[in-house]
Amino acid sequence: MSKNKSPKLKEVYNALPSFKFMIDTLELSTPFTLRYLNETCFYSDQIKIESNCNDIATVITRLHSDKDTIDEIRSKLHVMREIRGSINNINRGNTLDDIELFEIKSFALIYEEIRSLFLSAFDSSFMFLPDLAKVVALLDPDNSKMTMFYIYDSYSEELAAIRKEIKILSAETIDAKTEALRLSAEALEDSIRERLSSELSSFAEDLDYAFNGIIRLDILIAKALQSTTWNLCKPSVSSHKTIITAMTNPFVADALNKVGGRFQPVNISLDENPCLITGANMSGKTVVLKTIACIQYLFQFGFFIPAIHAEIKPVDAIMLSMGDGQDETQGLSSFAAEILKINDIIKHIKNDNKTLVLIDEPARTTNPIEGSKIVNAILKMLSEYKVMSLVTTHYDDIMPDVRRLRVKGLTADENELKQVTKDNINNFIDYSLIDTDNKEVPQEAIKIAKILGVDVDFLKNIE
Amino acid sequence: MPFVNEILKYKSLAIVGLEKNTGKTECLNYVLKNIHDKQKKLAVTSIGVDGETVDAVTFTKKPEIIVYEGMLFVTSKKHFKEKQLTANILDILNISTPLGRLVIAEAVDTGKIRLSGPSITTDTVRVIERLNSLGTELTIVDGALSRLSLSSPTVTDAMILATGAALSANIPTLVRQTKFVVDLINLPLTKPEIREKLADISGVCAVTDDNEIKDLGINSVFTMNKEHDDVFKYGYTIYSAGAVNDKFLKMLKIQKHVAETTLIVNDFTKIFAEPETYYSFLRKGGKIEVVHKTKLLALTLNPWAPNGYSINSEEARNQLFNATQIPVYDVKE
Repeated sequence: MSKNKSPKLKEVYNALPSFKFMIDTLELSTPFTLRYLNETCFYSDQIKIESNCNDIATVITRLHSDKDTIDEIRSKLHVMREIRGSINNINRGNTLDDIELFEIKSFALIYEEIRSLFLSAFDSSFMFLPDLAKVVALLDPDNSKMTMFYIYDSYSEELAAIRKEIKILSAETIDAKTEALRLSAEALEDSIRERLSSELSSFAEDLDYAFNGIIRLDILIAKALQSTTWNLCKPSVSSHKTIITAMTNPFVADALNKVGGRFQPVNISLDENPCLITGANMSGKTVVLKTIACIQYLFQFGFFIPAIHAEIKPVDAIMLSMGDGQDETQGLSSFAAEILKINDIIKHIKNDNKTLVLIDEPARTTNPIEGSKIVNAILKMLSEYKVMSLVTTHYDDIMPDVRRLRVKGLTADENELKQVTKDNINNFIDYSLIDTDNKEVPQEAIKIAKILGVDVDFLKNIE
Repeated sequence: MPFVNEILKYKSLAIVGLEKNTGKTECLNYVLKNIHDKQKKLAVTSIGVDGETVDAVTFTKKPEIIVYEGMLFVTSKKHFKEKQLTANILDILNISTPLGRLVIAEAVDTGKIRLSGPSITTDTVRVIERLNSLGTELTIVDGALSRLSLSSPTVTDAMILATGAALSANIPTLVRQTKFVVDLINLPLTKPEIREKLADISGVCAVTDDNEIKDLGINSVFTMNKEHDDVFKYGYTIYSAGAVNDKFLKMLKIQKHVAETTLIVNDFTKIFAEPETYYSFLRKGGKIEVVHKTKLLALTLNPWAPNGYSINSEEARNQLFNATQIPVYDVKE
């Protein structure tokens, strides 16, 4: 993921569980939208992000004012058919078979219903949905408006006559004469299919717009629904900094909810400089990084944001090092895998500093003396190239002139501390991030170990 | 064949052949011919692929399936394209087969088609449900009774079993083998309290006297390990969702509490035991019950075998009826 400058949605989906959760909870209606959504690339362009967000906002207002229409559109989207392959066949000049003609007809019929619902709820300038009435007319010569298809008698009088004859004969028996009639009927049907296909080719572009329009409409409605369900906010695009108020991580929040816990929203602001986060173990530093990664991706794939307020700077790439890249199959230790990943990041920012870099506890697996040198070097380069970035660490001796945030951490006093256990510890931690000048890192590892209930002799030996 | 009127009482019917060339297709064509004008909306589908012009194994000519005007049919895209009739496409299902997705169409005139259908039971159920939503009143399923088939014909309410000289040219053998399958089809339904509970279960489990289902941690009787798995720890009523083999039934048979033992299977097609083992288990007092049962309406007999042998139709029919008490008809007459 981190190597790819402009990843497709499905790559992020596979790499980042928080993001996957957001896609999984998206209520898409057609059976094929997800496949196309998976292939979308992340927007780096400010205008695209903004217009997409405005579109979601428009759909949200309709969800409030005209919910029935949106619901009806959604129920019709459910029975939409994938016709991309048939459109390609039309463009190639191929003759379509009855099954393809059925699928195009069925698509066009339901599309027309959706289109008229759409026009009753939205301004026509909101999205271009071409008129497919002529496609319907071509494939529904009897004007039945039913989703069914065959080469109708009304396409050819000659065909109708032959079929009549077949019907009379085959009521008795199926013999050589009906076979011969059938062959001539088939030849006629073939020529009609050919004619229909060539007539359809003049609507190929419209069909293409209609098909893409349906996918876009489905995605916008699903995003709008998700935004209302999860109380997401419309982000605004910022040119140089990111400020997020009360950000949450729906994936973690959902897991916490299931065990009766609650996710504490956190504020954060980032500018074009590195920022160092310190905090005790279990204080949620890693979750902060993953949440920011998820939010940045949601933003650049045109989603609303799980926060109360969000101004976000678009980037060209998001690069994440979670230090969990141990890969024995390649004979790399966890340190080696991590340092190579960080090296990729460094090489990347030298060419493109419009990147969001998130590094969780770099060099944690090596000795603290060299470890803190490595962290210092990373921060130095991130400062030099003016990269918006977050680095977490437990190490002391980190260079003085970098912005620092600290997780407030364990708030329990001496008395409360006695009640804290590994099951309720979350309730006693304040996950807020506060700016600090204090260069010392919080030292609460032993306290946490005690709460977790480690062996008494073991503790004595530690102390 | 008077059973035609009997068929109309049901919502779904499977026609199943005991062996290739036992006249299943003739039987299907006969049924379709005789009920298509009975004012019922009919549909025909199959389990797996059937209805080939030439049987791939024996190269024997097989009659094709004739569907009549107004009848619905389900077949794969490939076979749909080879149809010899005019048909109005009503739906294309999201069920894939090796021959393409399944098409539901309505015959605009009468003609021949080759049937191919879903190969797993849940898909067959889905197809029947979709046909019902399109107004079908009776669905006829061309059902393979192959030991390899994953789709059981017992999803239908009723069944016709086709037997014939292709199974055995020796009448006593033919009767014995047919009777065995008839006995399996007629296995009693298990009590309603546990039927629904068992329908969703996979693997092997025990049913206590209080109708409680106890997982035995056994995936299948095939993978059972005698040393570790105590099948009887919750009593002597055992349910197996998957196939039950001869070895398992033999094991049940030799236990001292065999008379208190009840083996429950999903449906009769799950029993893969030798007739000797099966009857001896029952003789010793063991019981076998099913979760899904279908009503056997009739037997059909094809007195001709593909190798040219034939048997005396009347004698065979008489003996079959005496052994099974199920009406028997000759498809060639």
